[in-house]
Amino acid sequence: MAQAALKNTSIEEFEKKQEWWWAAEKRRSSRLDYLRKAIWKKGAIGGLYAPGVKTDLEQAVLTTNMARSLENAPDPYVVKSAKIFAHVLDNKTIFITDHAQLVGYTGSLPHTMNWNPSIASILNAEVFNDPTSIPDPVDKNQAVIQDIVGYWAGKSDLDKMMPVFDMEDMMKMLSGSIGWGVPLARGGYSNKDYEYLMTGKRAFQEILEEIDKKIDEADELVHTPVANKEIALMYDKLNNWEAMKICLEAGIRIAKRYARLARIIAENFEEDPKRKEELLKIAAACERVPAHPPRTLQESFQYDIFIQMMSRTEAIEGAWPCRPDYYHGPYYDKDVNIDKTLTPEEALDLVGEFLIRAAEVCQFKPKFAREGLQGIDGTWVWTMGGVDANGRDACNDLTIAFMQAARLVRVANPTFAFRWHPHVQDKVMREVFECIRHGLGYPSIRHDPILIANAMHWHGHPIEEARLWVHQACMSPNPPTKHGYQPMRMANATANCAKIIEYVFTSGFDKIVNMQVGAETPDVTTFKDFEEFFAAWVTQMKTIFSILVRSVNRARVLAPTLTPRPFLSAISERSVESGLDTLDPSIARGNAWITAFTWVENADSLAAVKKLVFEEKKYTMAELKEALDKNWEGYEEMRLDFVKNAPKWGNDDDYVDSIMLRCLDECAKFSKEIKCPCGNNWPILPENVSGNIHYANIVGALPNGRRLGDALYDGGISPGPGLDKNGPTAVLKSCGKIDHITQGRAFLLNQRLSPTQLAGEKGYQLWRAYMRTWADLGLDHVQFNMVDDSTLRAAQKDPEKYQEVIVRVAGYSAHFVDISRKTQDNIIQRTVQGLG
Amino acid sequence: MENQPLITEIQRFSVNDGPGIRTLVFLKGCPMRCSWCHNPETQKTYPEVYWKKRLCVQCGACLEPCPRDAINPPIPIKLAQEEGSSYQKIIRDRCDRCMKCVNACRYDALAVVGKRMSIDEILTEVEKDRPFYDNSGGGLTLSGGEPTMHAEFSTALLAAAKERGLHTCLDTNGFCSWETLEKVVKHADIVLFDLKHMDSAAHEQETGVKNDRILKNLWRLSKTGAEIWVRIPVVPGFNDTLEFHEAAARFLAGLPGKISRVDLLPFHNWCQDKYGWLGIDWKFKETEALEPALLEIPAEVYRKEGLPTTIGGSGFEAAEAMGA
Repeated sequence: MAQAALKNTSIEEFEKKQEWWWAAEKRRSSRLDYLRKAIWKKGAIGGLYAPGVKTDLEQAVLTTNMARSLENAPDPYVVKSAKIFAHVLDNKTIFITDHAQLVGYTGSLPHTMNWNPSIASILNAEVFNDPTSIPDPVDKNQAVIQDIVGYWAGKSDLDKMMPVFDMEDMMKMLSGSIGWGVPLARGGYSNKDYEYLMTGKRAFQEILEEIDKKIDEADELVHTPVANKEIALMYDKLNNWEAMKICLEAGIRIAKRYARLARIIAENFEEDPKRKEELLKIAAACERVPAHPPRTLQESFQYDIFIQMMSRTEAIEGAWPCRPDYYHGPYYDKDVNIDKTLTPEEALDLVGEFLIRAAEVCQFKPKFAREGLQGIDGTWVWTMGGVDANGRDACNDLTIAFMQAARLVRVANPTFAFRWHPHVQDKVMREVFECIRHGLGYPSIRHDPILIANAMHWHGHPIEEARLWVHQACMSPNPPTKHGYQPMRMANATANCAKIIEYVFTSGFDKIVNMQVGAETPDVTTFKDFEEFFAAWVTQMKTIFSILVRSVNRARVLAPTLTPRPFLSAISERSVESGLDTLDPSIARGNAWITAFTWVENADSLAAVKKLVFEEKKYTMAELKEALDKNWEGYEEMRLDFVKNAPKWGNDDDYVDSIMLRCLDECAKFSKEIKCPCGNNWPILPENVSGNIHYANIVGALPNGRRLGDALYDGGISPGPGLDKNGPTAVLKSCGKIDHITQGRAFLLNQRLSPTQLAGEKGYQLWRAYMRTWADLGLDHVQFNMVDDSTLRAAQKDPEKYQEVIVRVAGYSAHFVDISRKTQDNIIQRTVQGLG
Repeated sequence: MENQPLITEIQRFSVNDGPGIRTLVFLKGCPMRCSWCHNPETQKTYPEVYWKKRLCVQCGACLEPCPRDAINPPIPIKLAQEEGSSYQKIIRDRCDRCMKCVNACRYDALAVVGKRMSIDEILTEVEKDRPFYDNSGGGLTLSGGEPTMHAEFSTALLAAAKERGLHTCLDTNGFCSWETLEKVVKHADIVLFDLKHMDSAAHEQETGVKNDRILKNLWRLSKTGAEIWVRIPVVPGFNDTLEFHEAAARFLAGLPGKISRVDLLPFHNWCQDKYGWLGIDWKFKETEALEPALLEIPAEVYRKEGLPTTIGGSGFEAAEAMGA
């Protein structure tokens, strides 16, 4: 938009036209406006990074140099890891953005993507082969990268793990047909022990003292005149404690470097007295945290950012689990309401900046992950609202401030997920609704009572811990507590579930990757009735799930010794106390789940086969098999029959809904047979992120009428696009038939809303009535997409003008113009539910 | 049941036809022929055939089964679908609606509109959204077409709905005998009563009937103390004048009973596809939808007379927003 037009149009006019992005630009403070525009857009578009965004070689070089120098050192591996971590923090470039009040970034400069070469050599190869993101001068840097890639070949975490995995399982998984990613302790989604770390009782210095005490006790024990297994194992613990200390001390040192930089600028270069004061405040904050617990809201945010920055130095983090209103809320209350050292407007600037600092974070991701995470770097779903350990409403003034700040800065990542419960006040629900109405696509709404019961049912978390849950990734609750928190959710327990039904027709042979992946179930044409057919489906489901789960279990058992996490351990009570690496299964309760991508195709396909083949006998199984083999080519009329004349999920139709429930029952039963190394269950969690696009060319023709290459359904338990003919109430009714406590870990539901009639008070009242019914029906999740078709079509034609349009894509929001044409079409195709 | 009417559609999640989230049951058949009618498929009492040209692939499969030579042979899809194409698949004056062509169509391009359903079948469908009614004050709205044209069935349906504890609305044009209306409204919690024009000649010209009976029925109904929401479709060139609104407002304010609210429903042309599917040339097809904001001034006319008024008839409108 021309600057003049932007200037001459009032906020109210923009809001009336529902051009929320321009209204936000005019409404936010000049500081927030500057900071919002001063970050680089890092999410990949259609799998490619934007021009100008570059891979950061600094950490890669520092890591490699230090690893080389330690090669012949006598240190145990965990101590070497910690020393590399410390070396990176001690030497990385630091900067302070103009007007910023918060500091700390994963890379060395704002346009860079962090790259840790010690984790996965296959990732390193992608860095080398991605010419657009290699920094200038390319020739020189290509040589640097080549050296790094060469050094880590055979030495990265993945290379160390590969020989100790079952090779057959590994090959099936790496084929890319049934799973997603690789099982690594330093590549996935780490929750944190926030109850240990963020409750104001301790920070790094206090933890160091706790560790020193532990070391003293251990030292005394190993030198008493006795010998036993405990002492034999104690030396490993001493190594772990030493490594933890190295990490914590390095964490304190880098914060002090930021403090020094802020002081140098303030005292030598800054002329504006107000900015000078701000810089000194930054210095004071960085001297305080992470060494000691924060005293103010600014310090609390700063503490959080440092922890995330360090965690992302140690590992590739695809998520950002946190509950900022709950853990930072007391500081907001103190500064704004009690001490009155901050005005609400000043606080809002800090909250907005906290969102911006998170939005700029990026780590180089392999192409499959970029395709699956269209437009964003990871799924940073921040948990809001909910109850406290005693079951009381935990919403506070900061909850509201986050909702307001989100509408001002309008970032696509992080997003919020709001834990709804019956005691949430109306004023908070109105703030949540405003975000949805303004087309942010978030918060998604989560059903607290259901999910707390679910956490107790599946993983045995005690109720007081279950009530503290945060999203570990997009959807999955996990308490941030001593034994409850899961140190790493390894992404590869992500099943491409459409393969379950596909393999029933191929007896487990995968024609796309040309290998036997599934079970060798009998020839599909030999099945006499639906029961035999369904039994083969169950066998394929169990086969696929167990291949994925076995590899994660194996990685989890090996992780403490082969790929330890000394920094993450150092901020975990159970590791500080026990001296064991935090990945050690013996000190965790277990919180595993199988993400079920491309799930709903199974119910629709089974229903079509049951009705058209076994009941109406309109087609023989041989005909169907032939049609699928030919990718429906030459069978168009028959295909349309399978699309139109078989019941589809999401229409409140018991015929197909009961098949969905039966499938989930089978999975739930199996979830309790397969166990994680902590001894706990593996429930399934249907959602898709953008897997429906990624897998379009990987899943073959299916009996729901889908052809190879067609996008899959957009996920979770959402009906197929355009197949939900009976409107939004029928969708909720179908989804409400699922027991969201015992049939799985969580179930993603997308609802597309028509914005025109959600305006004003009546829009809110309509939404509330809809949400009350959602709650009554016991659904654990719903998220809304509020942008209408015409806007999206216009955005496709003229992306320049619609840079800021955010849409909800499966598990997260993204800027519409950032996602591939195929995803865009898929979103537009979704039935506009017209809630209003 | 004798004279059982056809149902054209049961539409769940309706939020502009009475309070809350509702399910609309559309009966087929109407004694009036409003020129702007938004549901042309509900005018005739018998089943009709839709031809949806966007879905038609011009395969010609419908040609052969037609016993009356009422199907036009295929032409290239592009020609059939292009803007302004006069091509129609069905030659309507030859068609006797035997529906053999519909059975032959694999692409859902030909479809029957209007099917028979028992009261139990209808209410089973309506009851599916009971959880939404409970949370929104919604329920069943019986609409059409014109429900009073099927008085016995409509009365029985509404009575059965009440027996099942459902909130009921009757959506009527009021063009029937008082005895009929009195009978049908007995089981309706709210009557959504259409008012189209105050001038009888103008009314007759665009709806096919005079308005005296309608106005009289409205007067008598209001006297009974029934809860009435008056619904006024505002149609360009017909009743979009201040003169009409002032006359209507005066009339409504002067009724013996209180009118709960007036809903001004701006004309729109989203139904033009349906006219095309029925092979009818709609006189309003080039008319733009009326911008709801333009009805703010007329709404004030009603509010000044003490009548709470909405634009669009949302079932979630707050009392304060309706003014008066």
